[in-house]
Amino acid sequence: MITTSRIRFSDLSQQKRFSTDLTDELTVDHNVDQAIEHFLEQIGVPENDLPWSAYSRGVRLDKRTRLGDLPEQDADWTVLPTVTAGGAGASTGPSTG
Amino acid sequence: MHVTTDFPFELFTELSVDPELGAEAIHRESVQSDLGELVEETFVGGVLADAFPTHPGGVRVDITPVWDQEPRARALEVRITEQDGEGRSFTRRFETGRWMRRAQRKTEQLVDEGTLEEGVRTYVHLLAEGKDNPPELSLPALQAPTITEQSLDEFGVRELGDGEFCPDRPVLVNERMLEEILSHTEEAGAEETGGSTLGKMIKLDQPLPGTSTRIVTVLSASLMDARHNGSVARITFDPAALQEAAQVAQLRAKGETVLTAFHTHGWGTECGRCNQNTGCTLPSATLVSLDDYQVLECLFPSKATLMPIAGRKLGAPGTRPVLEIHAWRGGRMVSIPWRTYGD
Repeated sequence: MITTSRIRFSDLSQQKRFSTDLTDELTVDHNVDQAIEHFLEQIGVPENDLPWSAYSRGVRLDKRTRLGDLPEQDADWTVLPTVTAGGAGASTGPSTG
Repeated sequence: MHVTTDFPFELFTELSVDPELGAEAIHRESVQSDLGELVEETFVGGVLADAFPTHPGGVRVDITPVWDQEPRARALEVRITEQDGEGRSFTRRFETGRWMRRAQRKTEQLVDEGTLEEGVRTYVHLLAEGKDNPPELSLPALQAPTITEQSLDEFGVRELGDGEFCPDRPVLVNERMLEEILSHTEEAGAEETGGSTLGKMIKLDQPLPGTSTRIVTVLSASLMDARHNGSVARITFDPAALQEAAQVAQLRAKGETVLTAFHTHGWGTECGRCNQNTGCTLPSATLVSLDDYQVLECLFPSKATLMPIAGRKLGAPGTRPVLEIHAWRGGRMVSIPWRTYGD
């Protein structure tokens, strides 16, 4: 199997993008979970203690998978959280001083 | 893109029950890291307003406190200037930002802990303290949104419908999508519902009448999915369903992406006058909650993101829900006008 040597990340809307070779801060010995964390840090998105997932070719990647074990077809990831919206807490909150 | 900046301050917020500066703070924290999103919003806002190039070689970022009573700032002004090319610049003023939402969460936490009495009014002072060696600004890479040069006709817009444009952020909403969202809102009642919203940002040859930018955002289709779990006052978006919507967008082959997700803030089925009932406890579609902001920060982090919310709006004519479309404006989401289109 030819494994991936570069990962291209994006958010769901494909407006925030980042790509990296697996030779520097992120290497083949890191896992999917660590790669998600790295992507979020690079694009300045807070993890907010949410459950995050990475999808490639429409399939959710196992967070424990070592990056060096991913086939080269799994180089394009979409990273997204499970997150709640809604009117709860739609208060006006504090005022400016 | 090379970014240079010089900000000789460190930003803090102080939370107080007293509006006067110098009163004892019940909480103080550094909010220097919140500057990144202001810079991003200014850059993306400039690109969407067609006032700034999408890929400048380098930019200079100037952040200036607008003093209320030094070191308390009433606002921050962010100006981004192109370092090459025509040297164009774009400025945006921020009277609020992530620090206010964090202060709101902190206030809720202090009330829950019993440190603050419920209902007590709190004030947030934004302090820009001059420093000889201020902490280095950590700015995320500035990325322009994906914008396709195309005509509306090529995309499938056959005619413009009702509504009006926000001059520097024109938005078009598919008529059929609008009707689907309003019908789902009525059917779901007080329970919230929502789904993926497909769309595309298009750069036209000329601005549309009444607008000042060639870049138009088209919201073209919504995709409901039972895996999105709605209840009263909240809805949890399912990642697998959102991902499948992205695949649907690819199959449609129009260059759309899941640009955002719509959701409802509930709709009354009892009194029949949702838009007139001042005593109704359902949140208005005009309000963007802290949970909604979390969706914007984490699921759709681009500052080009629009957030469509359907539901009640006090004073709106008629007996049907309304769709409010919110856009980033000065550190918060603000409802902007939009027009429908037929395909």
